[in-house]
Amino acid sequence: MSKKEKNYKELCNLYLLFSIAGILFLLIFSYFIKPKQINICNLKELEENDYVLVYGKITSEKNLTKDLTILSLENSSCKIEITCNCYGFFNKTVSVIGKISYYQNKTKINAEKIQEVK
Amino acid sequence: MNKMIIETSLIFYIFLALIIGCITGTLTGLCPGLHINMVAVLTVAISPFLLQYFPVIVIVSFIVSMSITHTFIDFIPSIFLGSPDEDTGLSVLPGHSLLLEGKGYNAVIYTLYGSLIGVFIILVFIPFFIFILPKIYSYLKPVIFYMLLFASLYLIIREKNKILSLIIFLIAGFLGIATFNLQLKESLLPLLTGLFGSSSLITSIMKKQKIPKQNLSSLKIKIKLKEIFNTIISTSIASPLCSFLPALGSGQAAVIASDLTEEKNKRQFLITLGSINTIVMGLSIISLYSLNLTRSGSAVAISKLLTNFTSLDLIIIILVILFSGLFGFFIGIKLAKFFALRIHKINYSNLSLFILLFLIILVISFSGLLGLVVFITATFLGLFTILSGSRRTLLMGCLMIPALLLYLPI
Repeated sequence: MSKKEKNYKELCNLYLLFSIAGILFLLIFSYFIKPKQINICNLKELEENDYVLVYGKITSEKNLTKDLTILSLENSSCKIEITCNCYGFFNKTVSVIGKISYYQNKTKINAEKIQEVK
Repeated sequence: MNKMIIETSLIFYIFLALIIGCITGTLTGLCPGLHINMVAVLTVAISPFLLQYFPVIVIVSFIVSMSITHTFIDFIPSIFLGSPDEDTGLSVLPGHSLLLEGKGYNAVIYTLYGSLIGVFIILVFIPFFIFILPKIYSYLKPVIFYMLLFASLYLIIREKNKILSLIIFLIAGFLGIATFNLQLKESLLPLLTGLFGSSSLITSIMKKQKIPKQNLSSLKIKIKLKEIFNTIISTSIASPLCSFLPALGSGQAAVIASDLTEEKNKRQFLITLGSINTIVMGLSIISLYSLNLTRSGSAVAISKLLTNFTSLDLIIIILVILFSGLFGFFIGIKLAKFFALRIHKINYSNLSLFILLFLIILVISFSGLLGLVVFITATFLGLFTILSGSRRTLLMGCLMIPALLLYLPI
């Protein structure tokens, strides 16, 4: 193997090593990262696609299709619509992690994770 | 009479929106960081103001014409500058090698012909999407996982070095999973520009590539009828995959489509890629009408505006697609000529460096410092793939593996 080929192979391995190290860092970091907690009364200040963590009580639950449920979340006399692929949260206090979206001039959250808070 | 005046003014407004959309689509196509999704989101954001003056279909016409024109023009920076977006990433390699042969102009023209063919294929597909697809879609939904799995395995098995291909596909998948778990804003920007854009740019800088004078003597580019026929057949088979399956982009469909044809050359690949790029965009808008599916950023924006998607809206949208396609084709030829005449005069390494810096600024401003880490990691993986001689289609594992996990039937 010529010196050039050896350097080429070493460079190739180095790129692979850096990419694996980067992925490991990102995977570990993503485990600890949490979106900012927001009071639902202040959600309008945020931009579309911002990730948020909100708390509140589910006051209504409508199953539109097999995969789509619309929940109503209330907290501090404010209300927001949550869309999710979930069921069984009616009358429960939950934490919701999701993305802000605006639909027909209304702010809502597309939930990615909903957990009951006990 | 009054009604006629209203209708005439509506036609005028739609036409105006169409022209502005075509110009905006040209600009977004030329600037690698300026994505149509961004403009579409901004349009939706200011729609309450716009709707005071214009009917909703005027704003929708703007988004549709911008999106279709964009699919014609976005190959120009991809081929001449090596700076692609997610739909044109796979055109960098064949496009760039033609550029180095002095045939960059031809490379763009092939994609333009492909896109134009794509517009007509959209028209052929419309009845299928409206009348047949809604009836069979519910049966297809449960098998999405298996179709995705098949597509993934196909991409790996067709490679010479299968183990290395599998490793690249899996690493890209882990990178995708990590990126999506970071809850970044515009997470696709650092991921895909790193995998496909910056890695090509760095390779160009390292090789100190010089772009030869582009050959414009053969402005009449000959495309064999057989190639057009092959494109029509292969894209007609592969494009629906992109319309149904999540994470399958135009790139993968182009690979599958080019494998379906007998002739596997750069020209055929670029025609096919151009065609699929436009078909996927057009059909994503039609899917919104027929299936209520949003498979592109533009379709999402339209779904937020058009709460009641009528048949008349559909007819207007089809006409807008046709007109923007023709506009994109002719403006694309002019722009390709403009770039081809000047590209050899530019110091390509400096230009690549400038674009690389521009991409870094873009990534930091949209996705923050964490986005930059994703960008750097993706760049290293892209560089490894190029240096190891593997196909960069495998890097689409970054979208396919997260989608496979999402549709896992458990």
